[in-house]
Amino acid sequence: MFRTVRGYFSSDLAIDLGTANTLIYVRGKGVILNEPSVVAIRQEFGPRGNRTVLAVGAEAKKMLGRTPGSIQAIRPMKDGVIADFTVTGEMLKYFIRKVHEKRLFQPSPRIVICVPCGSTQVERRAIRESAISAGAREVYLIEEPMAAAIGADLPIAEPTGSMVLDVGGGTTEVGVISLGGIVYSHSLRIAGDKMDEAIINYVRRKYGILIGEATAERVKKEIGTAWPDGTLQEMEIKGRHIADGVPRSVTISSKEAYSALTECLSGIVTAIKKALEQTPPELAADIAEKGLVVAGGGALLKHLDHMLREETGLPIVITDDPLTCVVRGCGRALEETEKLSDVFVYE
Amino acid sequence: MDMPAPNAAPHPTPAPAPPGPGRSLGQARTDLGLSREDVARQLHLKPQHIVALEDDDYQSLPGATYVRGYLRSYAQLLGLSPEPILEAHARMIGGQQPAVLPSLSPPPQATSSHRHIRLTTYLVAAIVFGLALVWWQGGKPPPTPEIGRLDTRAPAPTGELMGPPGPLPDAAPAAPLTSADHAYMNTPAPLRGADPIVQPAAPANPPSPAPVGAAPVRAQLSLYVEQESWIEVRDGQQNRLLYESFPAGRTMMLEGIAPLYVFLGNADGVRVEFNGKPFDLAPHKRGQVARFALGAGAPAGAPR
Repeated sequence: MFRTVRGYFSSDLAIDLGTANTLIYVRGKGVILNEPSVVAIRQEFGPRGNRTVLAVGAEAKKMLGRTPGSIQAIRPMKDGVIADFTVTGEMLKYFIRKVHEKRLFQPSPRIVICVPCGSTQVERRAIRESAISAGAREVYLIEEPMAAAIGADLPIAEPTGSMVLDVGGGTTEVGVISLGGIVYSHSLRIAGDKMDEAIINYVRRKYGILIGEATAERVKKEIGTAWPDGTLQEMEIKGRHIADGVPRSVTISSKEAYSALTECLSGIVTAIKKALEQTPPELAADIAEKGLVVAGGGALLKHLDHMLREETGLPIVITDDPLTCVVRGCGRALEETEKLSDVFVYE
Repeated sequence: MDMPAPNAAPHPTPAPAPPGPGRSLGQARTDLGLSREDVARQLHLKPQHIVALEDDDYQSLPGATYVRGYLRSYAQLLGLSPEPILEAHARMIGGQQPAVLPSLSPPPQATSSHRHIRLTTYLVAAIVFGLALVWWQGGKPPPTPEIGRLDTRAPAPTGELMGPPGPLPDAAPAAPLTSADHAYMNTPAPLRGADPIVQPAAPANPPSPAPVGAAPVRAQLSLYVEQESWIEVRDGQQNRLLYESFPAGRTMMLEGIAPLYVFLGNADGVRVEFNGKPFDLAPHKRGQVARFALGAGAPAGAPR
């Protein structure tokens, strides 16, 4: 009963608990938090040393790959699901408190969280339990393609097919939606993280230099491209030479970045084609006419729409602000919980 | 007050709608020497969609999200920056920015910073505080009535009426205690040594009138508790004189209207004297308990 009372003093939240970033939408306010899903933990010395949370979010991300032995910078989400239950709970608790600053009581909000459509029951339950351990009063789960479709303001309730591609940090989700339900969905674990890995591997193979995840991500964001458009961009990166063991710098071009990303991108294209094969013909016709809607941080990869258009033959629509599309969809589901109750999943 | 000029148009003509992005897109396309079919082929859209986009006819196109996506792709294809095109589109459709949550006016959610919630909180806190205060005050023991105090300064005239510490639960308020005189003592001191103890809270009731008819026969009963026992004594008018458990070592001397009905829970542990004479309980014992009547009017076999 006390939780209910505390609920009056909490704002309901929609959370996109992503592998790379966690976004929080507060009811009536909009998206007010966008932080990396990273937690820095200090392990105290001694056999009974406690683990304390040192930093969460952007501050912790700066520590990634730069920590001493006593500190661990952890990404508690992996491939769209929880890899470290306790740390995820701590991270959620931190974020929930952060959006409830200057409140009288400890918050106990209702929370809508999106989950990958390919996640198992155990993984969904872990996410639910983690949110409850962070103080949630009620937890609703929504599948990411559905959240992306709602966030992109697609006509999900109408008898027309809409296809959504959400390229996130850990997973890429493809979904075909009609009449308020998911007709087909597929989740593949090729997304932003795998692209970073591909760049790391490429640089190591070609130049014999080991670079970190943060550097690889910078390469992807600055010169990464999904389609060679004739222009050439270059960027200097620094890393440790594998043979010499000393730091070296090397200049990498957008063409090389494209080569590095090709494999990941072809995986995504294959998933889209597979989804189109599995889609009923009437819905496929709708999709062929209207196009494929792309959301998620991966949509910001340069010329991704061009590449998808050429590979799939569909019109491609990049949503407005694709990074927050999913959390906005969760937020809208939260605002209209009664009307959109069918979109929630119950494990 | 300004009056409208008589020849002024009653309804001014509405301002022309701001130009949509279609014209600039069409202009850029012709500048590049592209046909609509070329664009449609490159964007994988139907040529009708390109016509609709250039004519700013959004009714024949799918939803707003798709229109913005098509405009963005079209602008990029022509080498234009998508932002001015999208802004022109937003201006044309009514200055609405891309509707993130269209038709949504979220009901304001009450938070602790709202005034009415804050007032309610203070009110609830005040009520809780008030109730706690009342409870705290109520938890204090009431002022102790001066009962049970023995005063041996003056001998009691008849040694009557010593009420038990608390009022007897079922004693009738009009008749009972004064007519059913009884003593209730903690010490084996003789009854006559004790003063009557009167409850100050309730003034002694006026003695009830004597029963109509024969004068009541009074009887004296002494109970010596040697082992803990339950004792119940009623007088001839069914007034309860004793009704509780007594520890070993207690002595009770009672005086009441005969017959006296006695029930002993542990008959072996209580010695009884009636009118100064020992009373044998053996015939009345049934197992551990004994039930008997004493005095005039008692059933046959009882001492008179």
